[in-house]
Amino acid sequence: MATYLLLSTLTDEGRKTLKARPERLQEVNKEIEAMGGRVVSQYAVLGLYDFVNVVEAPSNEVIARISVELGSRGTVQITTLPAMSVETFVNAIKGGR
Amino acid sequence: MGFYVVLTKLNSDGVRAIHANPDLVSAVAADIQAMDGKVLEQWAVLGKYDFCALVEAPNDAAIHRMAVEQESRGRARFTVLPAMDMALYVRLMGQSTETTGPHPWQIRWPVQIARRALRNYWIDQHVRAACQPLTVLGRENLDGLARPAIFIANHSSHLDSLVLHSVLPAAHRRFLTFGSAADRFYIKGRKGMTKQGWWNSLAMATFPIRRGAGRATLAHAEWLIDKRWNVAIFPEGTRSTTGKMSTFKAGVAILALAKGVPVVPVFLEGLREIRPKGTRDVAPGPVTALIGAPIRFAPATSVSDATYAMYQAMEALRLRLRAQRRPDGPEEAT
Repeated sequence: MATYLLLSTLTDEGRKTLKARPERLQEVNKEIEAMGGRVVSQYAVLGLYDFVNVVEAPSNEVIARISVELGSRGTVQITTLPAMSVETFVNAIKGGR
Repeated sequence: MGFYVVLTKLNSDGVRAIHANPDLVSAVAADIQAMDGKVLEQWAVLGKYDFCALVEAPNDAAIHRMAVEQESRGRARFTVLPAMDMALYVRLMGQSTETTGPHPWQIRWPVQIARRALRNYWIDQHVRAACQPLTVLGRENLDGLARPAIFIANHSSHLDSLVLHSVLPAAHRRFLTFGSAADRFYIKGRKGMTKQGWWNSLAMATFPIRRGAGRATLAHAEWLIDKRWNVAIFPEGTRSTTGKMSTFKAGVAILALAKGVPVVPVFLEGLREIRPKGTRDVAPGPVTALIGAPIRFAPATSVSDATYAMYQAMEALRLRLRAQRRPDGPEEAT
C-alpha cells in the first residue's frame, strides 16, 4: 500500500452541502474504501485548504480514480500528493549515493 | 493543546542541506520537541510540497514560534494549517450557532428538589457503574470550608463532572454548579429533552460558558457566587486527549480574584481510561479523587500568578497520587 496526501478545498456547492448535511463528510470515507483506498487520518484545517486527508491506496491508478470520483461531484477540489514515510525518504537519499 | 498540519517547501539551500545530510529531516522533529511541540506524523511528499507533518503544540503562539525558528535557518518555507478533529468539525458545522441559558431559576428551591430527585438517575448510577472502586482522598481539606468556593479539576472525560459532584460532602454538593461549554450543552434546536440547555441547568446545575467570550461569559458565575453557590470549572477549558494537563484558561483566576473566594483543586485519576474523549462506551475501572487544600489568593494577586498557582497545586496533587500508587498500578499517561 502506498500513502497519499489529499489536500482538499470545498467549492461553493460543497459548502452548501456541508451546512445542510455535515454527516455526508464521513460517508465519503466508506466510498474511498469501496474504491480500494483507506483513510488513515483526516483533519479539518484553517488556511489554504479545508481538509487534509492521509489515504492509503494500492497504486497511483487507484488514488487517481478516487480523486476524480470525489472531484466529479463538484463539491471538492483535491490536490493529491504521493507521500512516503520520512525514514523511507531518508534511506532513499542515503542509498542513492 | 492544538493540532497543526505543517506543509513544508524546501528552497535550494534546504535541498542541498538535506542531500548532504539526510538525517536533518529527523533533527527537525527533535527541535520541535525541544520547543514543547510534538511531531505526531511526518511524510515526505511529491508535488507542491516536500514534507507534511502533523504537529501538536500548546497553542497558536507556540507553533508560530517554531515556524519562525525553523524558517530563520533559511532552508524552507512553512504553511501552517490549524487542524481540527473531524468528528468535532462535523458536529460544529451541523449545529446552530445560537445557544441558550443561563437559567437563573436553577437555584430556586423547587428546582433543587427536582434535581435531588433526578440525582440517582442522572449522576449516581453512572458513577457507580463506571468507578469500580471510587476512592476519595483529602476530604479533611474541606473541613470548615464555607460556601461559596470554586472547585477546579483536571478534565479528560464527560464523567469528570459527575464524579466531582459525587466526591464532595453533601453541604457543598447541594449548592454545586458547573461551568459547561455553551457550544456543546446549550445549543438551540437540538432534539431530545436531555439534550436541551434547560435540562442541564436543571439536572446537573450547569451554566453555559461561551469559549473566547471573555469576562462577559462569567457574569452568571459571579451571580451564583453572590448567591453563595459553589462553582465548579475545568480550567483546561476542554477535555484533554493526551493524559497531560493542558494550560489553564484565565477565567477561574478572574472569578476567584474578583469575588475573593477560595479555589479548591481536585485531581481526578482513572477517568480517561474509563471513558476517553470521543467514545461513548464506558469500561469500568478504578478512580481516585484527591481533594487538595483550598487556595486563598491575596487581593493584589495577578490573574497570571493565580492561574500559575492553581496549575502548580493541581500538578502537586497529581504527583502525590503517582507517588502513592502501587508499583503494579497503571502506567503514567504522560
